[in-house]
Amino acid sequence: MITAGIDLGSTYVKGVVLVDGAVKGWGVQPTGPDHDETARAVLGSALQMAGLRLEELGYIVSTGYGRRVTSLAKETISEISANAEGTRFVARALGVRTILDIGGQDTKAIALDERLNIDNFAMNDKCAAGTGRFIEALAGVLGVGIDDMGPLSLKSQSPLRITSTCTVFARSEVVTLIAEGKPKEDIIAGIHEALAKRLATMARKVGVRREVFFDGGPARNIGMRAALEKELGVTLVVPERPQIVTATGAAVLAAARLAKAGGQ
Amino acid sequence: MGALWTKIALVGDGKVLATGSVRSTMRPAGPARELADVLLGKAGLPPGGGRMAATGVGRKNIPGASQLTDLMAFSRGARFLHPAARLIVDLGGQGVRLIELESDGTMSNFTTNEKCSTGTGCFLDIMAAALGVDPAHMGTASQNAREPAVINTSCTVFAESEVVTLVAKKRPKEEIVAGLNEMVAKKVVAMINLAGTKGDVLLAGGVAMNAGVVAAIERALGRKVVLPPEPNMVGAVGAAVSLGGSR
Repeated sequence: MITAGIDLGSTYVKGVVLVDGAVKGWGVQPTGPDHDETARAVLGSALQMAGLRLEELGYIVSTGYGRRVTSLAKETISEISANAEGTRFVARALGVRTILDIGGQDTKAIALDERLNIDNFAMNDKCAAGTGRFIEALAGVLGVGIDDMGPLSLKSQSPLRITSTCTVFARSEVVTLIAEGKPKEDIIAGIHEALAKRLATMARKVGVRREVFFDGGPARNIGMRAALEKELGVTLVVPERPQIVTATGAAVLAAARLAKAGGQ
Repeated sequence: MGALWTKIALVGDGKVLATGSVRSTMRPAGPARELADVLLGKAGLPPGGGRMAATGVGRKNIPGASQLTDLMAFSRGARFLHPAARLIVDLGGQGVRLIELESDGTMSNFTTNEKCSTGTGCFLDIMAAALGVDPAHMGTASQNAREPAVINTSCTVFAESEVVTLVAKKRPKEEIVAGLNEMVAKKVVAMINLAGTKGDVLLAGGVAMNAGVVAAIERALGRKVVLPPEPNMVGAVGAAVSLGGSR
Protein backbone atom coordinates (compact mmCIF):
# COMPACT_ATOMS: atom_id res chain seq x y z
CA MET A 1 0.00 0.00 0.00
CA ILE A 2 1.50 3.31 -1.08
CA THR A 3 0.20 6.62 0.29
CA ALA A 4 1.45 10.16 0.87
CA GLY A 5 0.91 12.96 3.37
CA ILE A 6 1.59 16.61 2.62
CA ASP A 7 1.89 19.20 5.37
CA LEU A 8 1.52 22.70 3.95
CA GLY A 9 2.89 24.84 6.74
CA SER A 10 3.28 28.60 6.88
CA THR A 11 7.05 28.41 6.53
CA TYR A 12 7.82 24.96 5.08
CA VAL A 13 5.94 22.38 3.03
CA LYS A 14 6.70 18.81 4.06
CA GLY A 15 5.82 15.59 2.25
CA VAL A 16 6.10 11.92 3.22
CA VAL A 17 5.66 8.75 1.16
CA LEU A 18 4.58 5.70 3.14
CA VAL A 19 5.00 2.20 1.73
CA ASP A 20 3.41 -0.68 3.67
CA GLY A 21 3.73 1.06 7.01
CA ALA A 22 7.24 2.42 6.53
CA VAL A 23 8.43 5.92 5.60
CA LYS A 24 10.28 5.45 2.30
CA GLY A 25 10.69 9.01 1.16
CA TRP A 26 10.29 12.57 2.34
CA GLY A 27 10.79 16.11 1.16
CA VAL A 28 10.95 19.56 2.74
CA GLN A 29 10.91 22.94 0.98
CA PRO A 30 10.32 26.53 2.06
CA THR A 31 6.74 27.61 1.38
CA GLY A 32 6.68 29.57 -1.86
CA PRO A 33 4.08 31.99 -3.18
CA ASP A 34 2.29 29.13 -4.95
CA HIS A 35 1.36 26.45 -2.39
CA ASP A 36 0.22 23.90 -4.94
CA GLU A 37 3.43 24.20 -6.91
CA THR A 38 5.56 23.81 -3.75
CA ALA A 39 3.46 20.81 -2.67
CA ARG A 40 4.03 19.13 -6.05
CA ALA A 41 7.78 19.76 -5.86
CA VAL A 42 7.98 18.38 -2.30
CA LEU A 43 5.98 15.30 -3.20
CA GLY A 44 8.17 14.88 -6.26
CA SER A 45 11.34 14.71 -4.19
CA ALA A 46 9.71 12.36 -1.65
CA LEU A 47 8.66 10.05 -4.49
CA GLN A 48 12.10 10.20 -6.03
CA MET A 49 13.67 9.13 -2.74
CA ALA A 50 11.22 6.24 -2.54
CA GLY A 51 11.84 5.35 -6.19
CA LEU A 52 8.15 5.72 -7.04
CA ARG A 53 5.95 7.64 -9.45
CA LEU A 54 2.94 9.86 -8.67
CA GLU A 55 0.58 7.37 -10.36
CA GLU A 56 1.58 4.68 -7.88
CA LEU A 57 0.18 6.61 -4.92
CA GLY A 58 -3.07 5.08 -3.73
CA TYR A 59 -4.27 8.01 -1.62
CA ILE A 60 -2.97 11.45 -0.61
CA VAL A 61 -4.03 13.42 2.47
CA SER A 62 -3.01 17.02 3.06
CA THR A 63 -2.74 18.93 6.33
CA GLY A 64 -1.37 22.21 7.62
CA TYR A 65 -2.72 25.70 7.23
CA GLY A 66 -2.49 25.58 3.42
CA ARG A 67 -4.04 22.11 3.18
CA ARG A 68 -7.02 23.23 1.12
CA VAL A 69 -5.06 24.91 -1.64
CA THR A 70 -3.43 21.84 -3.13
CA SER A 71 -5.30 19.87 -5.78
CA LEU A 72 -3.14 16.80 -5.10
CA ALA A 73 -4.92 15.58 -2.00
CA LYS A 74 -8.17 13.65 -1.95
CA GLU A 75 -8.80 14.57 1.67
CA THR A 76 -7.68 17.11 4.25
CA ILE A 77 -7.08 16.66 7.97
CA SER A 78 -6.39 19.20 10.75
CA GLU A 79 -2.78 19.62 11.90
CA ILE A 80 -3.74 18.60 15.42
CA SER A 81 -5.12 15.22 14.27
CA ALA A 82 -2.28 14.71 11.80
CA ASN A 83 0.34 15.52 14.41
CA ALA A 84 -1.18 13.15 16.98
CA GLU A 85 -1.38 10.45 14.29
CA GLY A 86 2.25 11.04 13.33
CA THR A 87 3.35 10.95 16.97
CA ARG A 88 1.56 7.62 17.51
CA PHE A 89 3.37 6.30 14.45
CA VAL A 90 6.92 7.46 15.23
CA ALA A 91 6.81 7.05 19.03
CA ARG A 92 4.28 4.28 19.40
CA ALA A 93 5.77 2.41 22.35
CA LEU A 94 7.37 5.35 24.17
CA GLY A 95 4.47 6.30 26.41
CA VAL A 96 3.98 9.81 25.04
CA ARG A 97 1.22 11.75 26.83
CA THR A 98 2.06 15.33 25.87
CA ILE A 99 3.06 16.70 22.47
CA LEU A 100 4.66 20.07 21.88
CA ASP A 101 4.70 20.94 18.22
CA ILE A 102 6.28 24.26 17.26
CA GLY A 103 5.58 25.52 13.80
CA GLY A 104 6.74 28.54 11.88
CA GLN A 105 3.66 30.55 12.79
CA ASP A 106 1.84 28.50 15.37
CA THR A 107 2.41 26.24 18.31
CA LYS A 108 0.34 23.36 19.61
CA ALA A 109 0.31 21.54 22.90
CA ILE A 110 -1.63 18.28 22.73
CA ALA A 111 -2.52 16.04 25.66
CA LEU A 112 -3.01 12.35 24.87
CA ASP A 113 -4.87 9.80 26.99
CA GLU A 114 -3.57 6.30 27.84
CA ARG A 115 -4.72 5.01 24.48
CA LEU A 116 -2.91 7.89 22.76
CA ASN A 117 -6.13 9.56 21.68
CA ILE A 118 -6.35 13.36 21.82
CA ASP A 119 -7.59 14.41 25.23
CA ASN A 120 -7.15 18.13 24.99
CA PHE A 121 -5.11 20.69 23.09
CA ALA A 122 -4.07 24.33 23.13
CA MET A 123 -2.92 26.35 20.18
CA ASN A 124 -1.29 29.71 19.67
CA ASP A 125 -1.49 31.22 16.22
CA LYS A 126 -2.22 34.74 17.40
CA CYS A 127 1.16 35.91 18.60
CA ALA A 128 4.56 35.27 17.03
CA ALA A 129 6.29 35.30 20.42
CA GLY A 130 5.51 31.63 21.12
CA THR A 131 6.33 30.26 17.68
CA GLY A 132 9.32 29.43 15.50
CA ARG A 133 9.01 32.90 14.02
CA PHE A 134 10.41 34.32 17.26
CA ILE A 135 13.73 32.51 16.82
CA GLU A 136 13.77 33.19 13.08
CA ALA A 137 13.25 36.94 13.52
CA LEU A 138 15.94 37.22 16.17
CA ALA A 139 18.40 35.01 14.27
CA GLY A 140 17.99 37.52 11.44
CA VAL A 141 18.95 40.41 13.72
CA LEU A 142 21.99 38.50 14.97
CA GLY A 143 23.01 37.53 11.45
CA VAL A 144 23.14 33.88 12.52
CA GLY A 145 21.78 31.07 10.33
CA ILE A 146 18.81 29.28 11.88
CA ASP A 147 20.72 25.99 11.96
CA ASP A 148 23.63 27.57 13.86
CA MET A 149 21.45 28.93 16.68
CA GLY A 150 21.38 25.66 18.65
CA PRO A 151 25.10 24.80 18.62
CA LEU A 152 26.09 28.41 19.39
CA SER A 153 23.74 28.69 22.38
CA LEU A 154 25.22 25.58 23.99
CA LYS A 155 28.50 27.50 24.43
CA SER A 156 26.79 30.00 26.71
CA GLN A 157 27.74 30.06 30.39
CA SER A 158 25.23 32.74 31.40
CA PRO A 159 22.19 33.22 29.20
CA LEU A 160 20.93 36.80 29.06
CA ARG A 161 17.33 37.53 29.92
CA ILE A 162 15.14 38.80 27.09
CA THR A 163 12.54 40.85 28.94
CA SER A 164 10.20 41.74 26.06
CA THR A 165 7.33 39.46 25.26
CA CYS A 166 6.59 40.84 21.80
CA THR A 167 8.86 39.65 18.99
CA VAL A 168 9.14 43.21 17.65
CA PHE A 169 10.27 44.59 21.02
CA ALA A 170 12.58 41.62 21.53
CA ARG A 171 14.18 42.53 18.21
CA SER A 172 15.05 46.02 19.52
CA GLU A 173 16.23 44.46 22.76
CA VAL A 174 18.61 42.15 20.88
CA VAL A 175 19.90 45.09 18.81
CA THR A 176 20.69 46.89 22.09
CA LEU A 177 22.42 43.80 23.54
CA ILE A 178 24.56 43.52 20.40
CA ALA A 179 25.42 47.23 20.65
CA GLU A 180 26.44 46.71 24.27
CA GLY A 181 28.89 44.07 23.09
CA LYS A 182 27.18 41.12 24.82
CA PRO A 183 28.37 37.69 23.60
CA LYS A 184 26.22 36.25 20.84
CA GLU A 185 25.94 32.84 22.48
CA ASP A 186 24.51 34.39 25.67
CA ILE A 187 21.95 36.33 23.64
CA ILE A 188 20.95 33.22 21.70
CA ALA A 189 20.65 31.13 24.86
CA GLY A 190 18.43 33.88 26.26
CA ILE A 191 16.25 33.76 23.15
CA HIS A 192 15.79 30.00 23.57
CA GLU A 193 14.95 30.42 27.23
CA ALA A 194 12.40 33.12 26.47
CA LEU A 195 10.63 30.88 23.95
CA ALA A 196 10.90 27.87 26.28
CA LYS A 197 9.11 29.85 29.01
CA ARG A 198 6.23 30.68 26.67
CA LEU A 199 5.98 27.10 25.43
CA ALA A 200 6.01 25.76 28.98
CA THR A 201 3.16 28.10 29.96
CA MET A 202 1.15 26.77 27.05
CA ALA A 203 2.03 23.14 27.80
CA ARG A 204 0.89 23.59 31.40
CA LYS A 205 -2.52 24.66 30.08
CA VAL A 206 -3.14 21.14 28.80
CA GLY A 207 -1.10 19.55 31.60
CA VAL A 208 2.44 18.26 31.25
CA ARG A 209 2.52 14.47 31.64
CA ARG A 210 5.46 12.32 30.68
CA GLU A 211 6.63 11.38 28.22
CA VAL A 212 6.77 14.73 26.48
CA PHE A 213 7.24 14.58 22.72
CA PHE A 214 8.78 17.61 20.99
CA ASP A 215 8.46 18.09 17.24
CA GLY A 216 8.22 20.67 14.49
CA GLY A 217 11.15 22.44 12.80
CA PRO A 218 12.48 24.17 15.96
CA ALA A 219 12.79 20.74 17.66
CA ARG A 220 15.86 20.27 15.44
CA ASN A 221 17.48 23.09 17.41
CA ILE A 222 19.54 21.46 20.16
CA GLY A 223 19.66 24.68 22.20
CA MET A 224 15.89 25.00 22.07
CA ARG A 225 15.57 21.39 23.26
CA ALA A 226 17.94 22.02 26.17
CA ALA A 227 16.11 25.20 27.22
CA LEU A 228 12.74 23.49 27.09
CA GLU A 229 14.00 20.48 29.06
CA LYS A 230 15.36 22.81 31.73
CA GLU A 231 12.12 24.79 31.87
CA LEU A 232 9.83 21.74 32.05
CA GLY A 233 12.19 19.60 34.13
CA VAL A 234 11.75 16.58 31.87
CA THR A 235 13.77 14.78 29.24
CA LEU A 236 12.04 15.27 25.91
CA VAL A 237 11.36 12.60 23.34
CA VAL A 238 12.56 14.08 20.05
CA PRO A 239 12.03 12.10 16.85
CA GLU A 240 14.80 11.62 14.31
CA ARG A 241 13.09 13.97 11.84
CA PRO A 242 10.95 16.37 13.89
CA GLN A 243 9.88 18.41 10.87
CA ILE A 244 7.95 15.63 9.11
CA VAL A 245 5.90 14.14 11.96
CA THR A 246 2.70 15.89 10.89
CA ALA A 247 3.15 14.94 7.21
CA THR A 248 3.81 11.35 8.35
CA GLY A 249 0.54 11.42 10.28
CA ALA A 250 -1.31 12.51 7.14
CA ALA A 251 0.30 9.64 5.17
CA VAL A 252 -0.65 7.15 7.90
CA LEU A 253 -4.23 8.39 7.81
CA ALA A 254 -4.20 8.07 4.02
CA ALA A 255 -3.16 4.43 4.41
CA ALA A 256 -5.99 3.81 6.88
CA ARG A 257 -8.49 5.31 4.43
CA LEU A 258 -7.15 3.22 1.60
CA ALA A 259 -7.28 0.03 3.69
CA LYS A 260 -10.88 0.78 4.68
CA ALA A 261 -11.78 1.28 1.03
CA GLY A 262 -10.20 -2.11 0.28
CA GLY A 263 -7.44 -0.67 -1.90
CA GLN A 264 -3.80 -1.56 -1.77
CA MET B 1 12.11 60.97 25.94
CA GLY B 2 10.07 58.29 24.27
CA ALA B 3 11.21 54.91 23.00
CA LEU B 4 11.49 56.20 19.45
CA TRP B 5 11.50 60.01 19.63
CA THR B 6 12.73 62.63 22.04
CA LYS B 7 10.31 65.55 22.09
CA ILE B 8 11.05 68.97 23.53
CA ALA B 9 8.54 71.71 24.31
CA LEU B 10 9.57 75.20 25.35
CA VAL B 11 6.95 76.73 27.59
CA GLY B 12 6.96 80.27 28.96
CA ASP B 13 4.41 82.75 30.21
CA GLY B 14 1.73 80.07 30.13
CA LYS B 15 2.22 79.40 26.43
CA VAL B 16 3.96 76.78 24.31
CA LEU B 17 6.69 78.87 22.65
CA ALA B 18 8.40 76.26 20.46
CA THR B 19 8.59 72.52 19.97
CA GLY B 20 10.88 70.08 18.24
CA SER B 21 11.83 66.41 18.13
CA VAL B 22 14.84 64.19 17.45
CA ARG B 23 15.20 60.41 17.23
CA SER B 24 15.97 58.85 20.61
CA THR B 25 19.48 57.43 20.84
CA MET B 26 21.50 55.60 23.48
CA ARG B 27 23.28 58.85 24.42
CA PRO B 28 20.48 61.40 24.28
CA ALA B 29 21.81 64.24 26.47
CA GLY B 30 23.82 66.01 23.74
CA PRO B 31 21.15 66.00 21.01
CA ALA B 32 18.48 67.00 23.54
CA ARG B 33 20.49 70.00 24.77
CA GLU B 34 21.27 71.03 21.18
CA LEU B 35 17.60 70.92 20.26
CA ALA B 36 16.65 72.84 23.40
CA ASP B 37 19.08 75.60 22.39
CA VAL B 38 17.63 75.71 18.87
CA LEU B 39 14.16 76.13 20.37
CA LEU B 40 15.39 78.86 22.71
CA GLY B 41 16.86 80.62 19.68
CA LYS B 42 13.53 80.36 17.86
CA ALA B 43 11.85 82.02 20.82
CA GLY B 44 14.51 84.76 20.78
CA LEU B 45 16.16 83.56 23.98
CA PRO B 46 19.86 82.89 24.70
CA PRO B 47 21.09 79.27 24.57
CA GLY B 48 21.72 77.32 27.76
CA GLY B 49 19.00 79.11 29.65
CA GLY B 50 15.77 78.01 31.19
CA ARG B 51 14.97 75.08 33.43
CA MET B 52 14.39 71.57 32.18
CA ALA B 53 12.17 68.72 33.30
CA ALA B 54 12.37 65.29 31.67
CA THR B 55 9.89 62.45 31.36
CA GLY B 56 9.59 59.21 29.40
CA VAL B 57 11.71 56.04 29.39
CA GLY B 58 14.98 57.89 28.93
CA ARG B 59 14.34 60.69 31.44
CA LYS B 60 17.25 59.69 33.69
CA ASN B 61 19.71 60.39 30.88
CA ILE B 62 19.26 64.15 30.86
CA PRO B 63 21.66 65.69 33.40
CA GLY B 64 20.38 68.70 35.27
CA ALA B 65 16.75 68.07 34.45
CA SER B 66 14.20 67.39 37.14
CA GLN B 67 12.34 64.17 36.51
CA LEU B 68 8.71 63.24 36.52
CA THR B 69 6.85 60.09 35.59
CA ASP B 70 5.11 59.73 32.25
CA LEU B 71 1.76 59.60 34.00
CA MET B 72 2.36 62.89 35.77
CA ALA B 73 3.65 64.53 32.62
CA PHE B 74 0.70 63.45 30.49
CA SER B 75 -1.82 64.45 33.16
CA ARG B 76 -0.25 67.89 33.48
CA GLY B 77 0.14 68.34 29.73
CA ALA B 78 -3.40 67.27 28.90
CA ARG B 79 -4.86 69.51 31.58
CA PHE B 80 -2.79 72.46 30.32
CA LEU B 81 -3.85 71.93 26.70
CA HIS B 82 -7.47 70.95 27.33
CA PRO B 83 -8.71 71.33 30.91
CA ALA B 84 -11.91 69.34 30.23
CA ALA B 85 -9.96 66.20 29.25
CA ARG B 86 -11.06 63.22 31.37
CA LEU B 87 -9.34 60.43 29.49
CA ILE B 88 -5.90 60.68 27.90
CA VAL B 89 -5.15 58.08 25.26
CA ASP B 90 -1.42 58.06 24.60
CA LEU B 91 -0.65 56.31 21.33
CA GLY B 92 3.07 55.89 21.74
CA GLY B 93 5.85 54.28 19.77
CA GLN B 94 5.97 51.14 21.90
CA GLY B 95 2.73 51.10 23.82
CA VAL B 96 -0.78 52.41 24.30
CA ARG B 97 -1.58 54.04 27.63
CA LEU B 98 -4.85 55.28 29.02
CA ILE B 99 -4.94 57.76 31.89
CA GLU B 100 -8.26 58.63 33.50
CA LEU B 101 -8.53 62.03 35.17
CA GLU B 102 -10.92 63.44 37.77
CA SER B 103 -12.52 66.79 37.03
CA ASP B 104 -9.83 68.46 39.15
CA GLY B 105 -7.08 66.89 37.03
CA THR B 106 -5.95 64.21 39.49
CA MET B 107 -5.33 60.78 38.06
CA SER B 108 -7.95 58.17 38.95
CA ASN B 109 -6.99 55.17 36.87
CA PHE B 110 -4.39 53.93 34.46
CA THR B 111 -4.24 51.11 31.91
CA THR B 112 -1.43 50.19 29.62
CA ASN B 113 -0.43 47.73 26.99
CA GLU B 114 3.30 47.67 26.57
CA LYS B 115 3.67 43.92 26.08
CA CYS B 116 2.43 43.72 22.51
CA SER B 117 3.48 45.97 19.64
CA THR B 118 0.19 45.72 17.74
CA GLY B 119 -1.41 49.12 17.38
CA THR B 120 1.69 51.07 18.43
CA GLY B 121 3.81 53.52 16.44
CA CYS B 122 6.29 50.74 15.95
CA PHE B 123 3.56 48.65 14.31
CA LEU B 124 2.72 51.42 11.84
CA ASP B 125 6.42 52.07 11.09
CA ILE B 126 6.98 48.39 10.27
CA MET B 127 3.92 48.32 8.00
CA ALA B 128 5.00 51.55 6.31
CA ALA B 129 8.36 49.97 5.55
CA ALA B 130 6.69 46.82 4.20
CA LEU B 131 4.50 48.97 1.97
CA GLY B 132 7.23 51.37 0.93
CA VAL B 133 5.19 54.29 2.27
CA ASP B 134 6.74 57.18 4.23
CA PRO B 135 5.66 56.58 7.88
CA ALA B 136 4.62 60.24 8.09
CA HIS B 137 2.17 59.67 5.23
CA MET B 138 0.36 56.65 6.69
CA GLY B 139 -2.51 58.88 7.82
CA THR B 140 -3.15 60.46 4.45
CA ALA B 141 -2.26 57.41 2.35
CA SER B 142 -5.62 55.85 3.23
CA GLN B 143 -7.71 58.86 2.13
CA ASN B 144 -8.73 57.52 -1.26
CA ALA B 145 -9.34 53.94 -0.17
CA ARG B 146 -12.58 52.56 -1.52
CA GLU B 147 -12.68 49.67 0.90
CA PRO B 148 -10.23 48.95 3.73
CA ALA B 149 -8.38 45.66 3.32
CA VAL B 150 -9.18 43.18 6.07
CA ILE B 151 -6.07 42.19 8.03
CA ASN B 152 -6.85 38.84 9.67
CA THR B 153 -3.95 38.51 12.07
CA SER B 154 -3.37 40.86 14.96
CA CYS B 155 0.29 40.11 15.68
CA THR B 156 2.65 42.68 14.11
CA VAL B 157 4.94 39.95 12.79
CA PHE B 158 2.12 37.99 11.16
CA ALA B 159 0.36 41.13 9.91
CA GLU B 160 3.59 42.18 8.20
CA SER B 161 3.56 38.92 6.20
CA GLU B 162 -0.10 39.48 5.43
CA VAL B 163 0.64 42.98 4.13
CA VAL B 164 3.44 41.62 1.94
CA THR B 165 1.00 39.04 0.53
CA LEU B 166 -1.64 41.73 -0.12
CA VAL B 167 0.95 43.83 -1.96
CA ALA B 168 1.91 40.78 -4.05
CA LYS B 169 -1.77 40.29 -4.86
CA LYS B 170 -1.84 43.90 -6.15
CA ARG B 171 -4.27 45.16 -3.54
CA PRO B 172 -4.15 48.99 -3.75
CA LYS B 173 -1.81 50.40 -1.11
CA GLU B 174 -4.38 52.92 0.13
CA GLU B 175 -6.76 50.08 0.95
CA ILE B 176 -4.07 48.19 2.87
CA VAL B 177 -3.14 51.35 4.79
CA ALA B 178 -6.83 51.96 5.53
CA GLY B 179 -7.11 48.39 6.84
CA LEU B 180 -4.06 48.88 9.08
CA ASN B 181 -5.36 52.19 10.44
CA GLU B 182 -8.69 50.47 11.20
CA MET B 183 -6.82 47.70 12.98
CA VAL B 184 -4.97 50.16 15.21
CA ALA B 185 -8.23 52.00 15.94
CA LYS B 186 -10.01 48.77 16.83
CA LYS B 187 -7.40 47.83 19.38
CA VAL B 188 -7.35 51.33 20.91
CA VAL B 189 -11.15 51.60 21.05
CA ALA B 190 -11.39 48.22 22.77
CA MET B 191 -9.09 49.62 25.46
CA ILE B 192 -11.10 52.87 25.68
CA ASN B 193 -14.35 50.96 26.05
CA LEU B 194 -12.84 48.89 28.85
CA ALA B 195 -11.75 52.02 30.68
CA GLY B 196 -15.09 53.78 30.09
CA THR B 197 -15.32 57.47 29.37
CA LYS B 198 -16.92 60.12 31.51
CA GLY B 199 -15.91 63.17 29.53
CA ASP B 200 -13.61 64.46 26.80
CA VAL B 201 -11.16 61.98 25.32
CA LEU B 202 -7.83 63.55 24.42
CA LEU B 203 -5.50 61.76 22.04
CA ALA B 204 -1.77 62.08 22.58
CA GLY B 205 1.37 60.49 21.16
CA GLY B 206 2.85 60.33 17.70
CA VAL B 207 0.26 57.91 16.32
CA ALA B 208 -2.42 60.55 16.99
CA MET B 209 -0.77 62.56 14.19
CA ASN B 210 -2.08 59.91 11.81
CA ALA B 211 -5.38 61.34 10.54
CA GLY B 212 -6.52 57.93 9.27
CA VAL B 213 -6.18 56.36 12.72
CA VAL B 214 -7.90 59.30 14.40
CA ALA B 215 -10.85 59.17 11.98
CA ALA B 216 -11.14 55.40 12.46
CA ILE B 217 -11.08 55.83 16.25
CA GLU B 218 -13.88 58.40 16.05
CA ARG B 219 -15.93 56.12 13.80
CA ALA B 220 -15.50 53.10 16.07
CA LEU B 221 -16.10 55.15 19.20
CA GLY B 222 -19.12 56.93 17.72
CA ARG B 223 -18.00 60.32 19.01
CA LYS B 224 -15.47 63.09 18.47
CA VAL B 225 -12.17 63.11 20.30
CA VAL B 226 -10.00 66.08 21.29
CA LEU B 227 -6.85 66.34 19.22
CA PRO B 228 -4.24 68.83 20.44
CA PRO B 229 -2.34 70.72 17.70
CA GLU B 230 0.78 68.63 18.43
CA PRO B 231 -0.37 65.37 20.04
CA ASN B 232 3.22 64.06 20.26
CA MET B 233 4.14 66.99 22.56
CA VAL B 234 1.63 66.36 25.37
CA GLY B 235 4.19 64.68 27.65
CA ALA B 236 6.90 67.26 26.95
CA VAL B 237 4.48 70.15 27.53
CA GLY B 238 3.40 68.50 30.79
CA ALA B 239 7.02 68.21 31.92
CA ALA B 240 7.59 71.90 31.20
CA VAL B 241 4.38 72.92 32.90
CA SER B 242 5.38 70.95 36.00
CA LEU B 243 8.21 73.44 36.57
CA GLY B 244 5.72 76.19 37.16
CA GLY B 245 4.83 77.22 33.65
CA SER B 246 6.40 80.69 33.77
CA ARG B 247 10.00 81.81 33.86
